[in-house]
Amino acid sequence: MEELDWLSIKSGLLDMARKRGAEVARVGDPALLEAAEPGLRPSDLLKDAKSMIVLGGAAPRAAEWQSDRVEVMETTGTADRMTALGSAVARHIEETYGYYAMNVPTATDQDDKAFLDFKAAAVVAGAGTASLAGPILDPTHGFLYLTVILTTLPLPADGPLEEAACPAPQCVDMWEEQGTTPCMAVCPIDDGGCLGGEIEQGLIINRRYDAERCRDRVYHYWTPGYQAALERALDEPDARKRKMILYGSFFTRTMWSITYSGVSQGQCFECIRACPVGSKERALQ
Amino acid sequence: MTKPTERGEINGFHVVDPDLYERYRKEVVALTNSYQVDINEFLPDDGSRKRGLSDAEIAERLGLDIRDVTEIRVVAEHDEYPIEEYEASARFKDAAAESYFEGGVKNLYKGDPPPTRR
Repeated sequence: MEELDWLSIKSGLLDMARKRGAEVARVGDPALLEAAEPGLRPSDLLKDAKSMIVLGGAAPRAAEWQSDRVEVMETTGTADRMTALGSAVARHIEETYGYYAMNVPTATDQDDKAFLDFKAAAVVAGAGTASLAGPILDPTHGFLYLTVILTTLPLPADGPLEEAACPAPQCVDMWEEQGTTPCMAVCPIDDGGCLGGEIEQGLIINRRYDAERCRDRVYHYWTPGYQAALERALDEPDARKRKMILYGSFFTRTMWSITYSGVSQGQCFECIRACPVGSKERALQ
Repeated sequence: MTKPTERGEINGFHVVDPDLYERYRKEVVALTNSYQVDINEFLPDDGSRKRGLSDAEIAERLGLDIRDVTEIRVVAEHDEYPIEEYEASARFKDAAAESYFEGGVKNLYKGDPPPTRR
């Protein structure tokens, strides 16, 4: 068999992804994720995976960020577009080159965890860097939805970015002036929020993150909210009060969100709304 | 071999014993990534990074069945905050967005958010 030109194949695959909507398309070495928690490693999903294609895109529209109605951002998640794109790229690899390619499921695994550490995959591939707020940030676009394709196709890896997108220069200035950053100011862990940390020599240190409070905000009208409201309803002995819970606005909206799950999963964006990384992309006229 | 009911599989799927849950809830959550303190995910992996443990690792450390650990963790993650947290979420998001639109990051609300309009 003729030796394949891995560099050209990589270039073609990433170009294809960009033409179909990816803002960021990079390749990482899956071996670098083998230190992740067991169960979240590439080898747990696809044996002999040689490459990890990470695509980022489908960010909310600038108008959605600008809407005075929080409910707009709560119901316009577009992560499923990246999932569809990842599936198309995986299919293309298998049909064109005859190598295994899996678009990593973006749903939850049997133990209510992810199938892969998506954030670590993005960092390893250079599809953005970690942030104090939590999401991976691309230096230009800021917050993007991610999808990861594991493949046995041995593509040359790009590797991590050399400069971190977070903290942004504006955040370093704010830290020096006020002892906080935009994301921590809007969601402070010591005052009912999710985020804490410090900046020292341009690096984030002593980061603190309350994943459960964040989950209750991000999945506000979704599965966790549904379970909590259902428990309250089941505990309510008064049939009339039970009816008020089950047919009330919280339970009703939660049910709508679940049934439109692909577009309703991310329901809190306040830390990223205040984030300067990618803000130029969100500033139109 | 024990019967499914004796193993706690009382509803066609594994359900953790409530007493076991109450006993180990805090310990299990403390070993996960639920509340992250200084895990140094931003630093190079020179040994200073600290990840949460997997359910299998927690089970081994505490001498529990992995199925019990998984159930304790999943239930405890949902149990961390009461249902009132959802109302607080609505108040927070309304206040955060409104203060941002009124004056950007320099105007972010401080303290307890006002009652939600929802």
